[in-house]
Amino acid sequence: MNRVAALARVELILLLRNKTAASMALVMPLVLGVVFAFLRNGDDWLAPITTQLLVVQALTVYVSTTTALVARRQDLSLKRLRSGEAAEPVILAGVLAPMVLLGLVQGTVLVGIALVAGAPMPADLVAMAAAIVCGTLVAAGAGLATSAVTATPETAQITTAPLVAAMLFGAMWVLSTAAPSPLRLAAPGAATAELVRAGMEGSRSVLVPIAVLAGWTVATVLLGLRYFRWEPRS
Amino acid sequence: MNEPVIEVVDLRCRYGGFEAVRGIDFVVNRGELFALLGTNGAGKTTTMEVIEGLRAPSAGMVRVFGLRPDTDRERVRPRTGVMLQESGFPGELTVAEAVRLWRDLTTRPSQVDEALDLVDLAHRRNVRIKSLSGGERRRLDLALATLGEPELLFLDEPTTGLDPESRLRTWRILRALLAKGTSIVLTTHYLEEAEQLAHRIAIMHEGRIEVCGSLADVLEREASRISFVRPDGVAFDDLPGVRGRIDPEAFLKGTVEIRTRELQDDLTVILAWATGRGVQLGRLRANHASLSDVFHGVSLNPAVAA
Repeated sequence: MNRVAALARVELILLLRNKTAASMALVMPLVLGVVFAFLRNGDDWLAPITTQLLVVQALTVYVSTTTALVARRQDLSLKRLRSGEAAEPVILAGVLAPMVLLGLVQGTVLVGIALVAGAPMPADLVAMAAAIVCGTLVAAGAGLATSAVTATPETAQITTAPLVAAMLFGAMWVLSTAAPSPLRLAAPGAATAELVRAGMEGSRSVLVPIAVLAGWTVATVLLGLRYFRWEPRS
Repeated sequence: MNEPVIEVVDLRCRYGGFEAVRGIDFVVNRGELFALLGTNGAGKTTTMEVIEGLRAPSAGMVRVFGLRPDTDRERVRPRTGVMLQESGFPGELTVAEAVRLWRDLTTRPSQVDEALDLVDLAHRRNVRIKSLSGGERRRLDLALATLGEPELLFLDEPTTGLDPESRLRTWRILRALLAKGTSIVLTTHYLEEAEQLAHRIAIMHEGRIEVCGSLADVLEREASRISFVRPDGVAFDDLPGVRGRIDPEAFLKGTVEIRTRELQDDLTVILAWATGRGVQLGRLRANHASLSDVFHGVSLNPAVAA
């Protein structure tokens, strides 16, 4: 655990020293979150809060983890770390940890901002917490998987774009129906949106969306580990 | 008594259809510096990476402390230090932050200041890695590799890019580690480095070890050389019969060159002939083969050297 903390501390230092990455991960989601909170349609808080969380999970977690992993591979840090005592899962956990923590904190803060701005108290806090936690974990897993097919930090902006767009469309798609099928919930962003709806409205089943997000998390992590490269292709 | 820390038997490594390492065998003993030499692409770095556990072999056996380095890494890594051919640390970290991170990842770390003092980087501790010179980065690499007081140290071209003073300092550090009983596997393009430091040397070429042994053993593989300026009026047939080979091409260019494994005998014959004929041998030289001779011999004609 100390090794994960040591790696995470360094990763956080690097994030803060990279102005582009820092603004993408720290400033942009919060600004967009606040904007969504004030551009809502009447008393409908479901869409703004869902969008806020998905923007955090897409930008702070998914794009940032992909970029960080590819950048560390590119500068040979991962190869260097792998030559030391830290086990491979520890190294990956250390690199991913700051983004996961930031995602959790930002998600919570944005829901708090929405409450301050007039949103009703969530009816099911467990469902809302699950939307933040499970959505963050699946975004980190997706970042690990996407890093396997991303050659440089610059191309991460391109390789992550389809899933970022799919997450937002998936959320709109699932919220457009009152009783989404499990297939519809399997779309990117959909299960998270369904959990936010369960959190806001209460009295909705959370098992299926949580199971979907858990399944996606396991699948993306396994996929990422299977195809992960520790050094640039020569 | 020799205690092996590394055993390599019939190691083979393939990249797709290309076989980078083609069945090599060697042993490294405790407290020994084993130098792995070879031209670019000879297979040195691949061999190192397999022994370090960074790459699985395609075939053959590798044991480090009697364990498989790729699958028993939890037990092997705390006892080894690795200096990769290319340094890898984010440029935005400072020197001290990098050493502190490595200390936190190491079971038996030295102090940060001690590690930086060792490689003369204490005055650069707050400088970002991206601002270091190539030589300073190599010294930082060495500090990290030795931070955990390893029993076995892998050094892949550790002095590339270092100025002569830093290179000598690195040699002193390595000698001190050897004196403490550390085993070292070294790859280098500086043959003098291998001559100065290595207990045993292996020369690789196209994935195979062509020559392996102590410096004396390795030099034995290549013939010694006698040379002098061809005296005026001396024809090829006038030269005395020696046990070595006289190079006819060099003779035509005005130099007598004799490659021989019987240096003393052939030199005696030549000197007796010159004395008897009253001939002055200009620029007379008699040399044992150098490591450079053996290295070039292996690169140009591996089968002969082997």
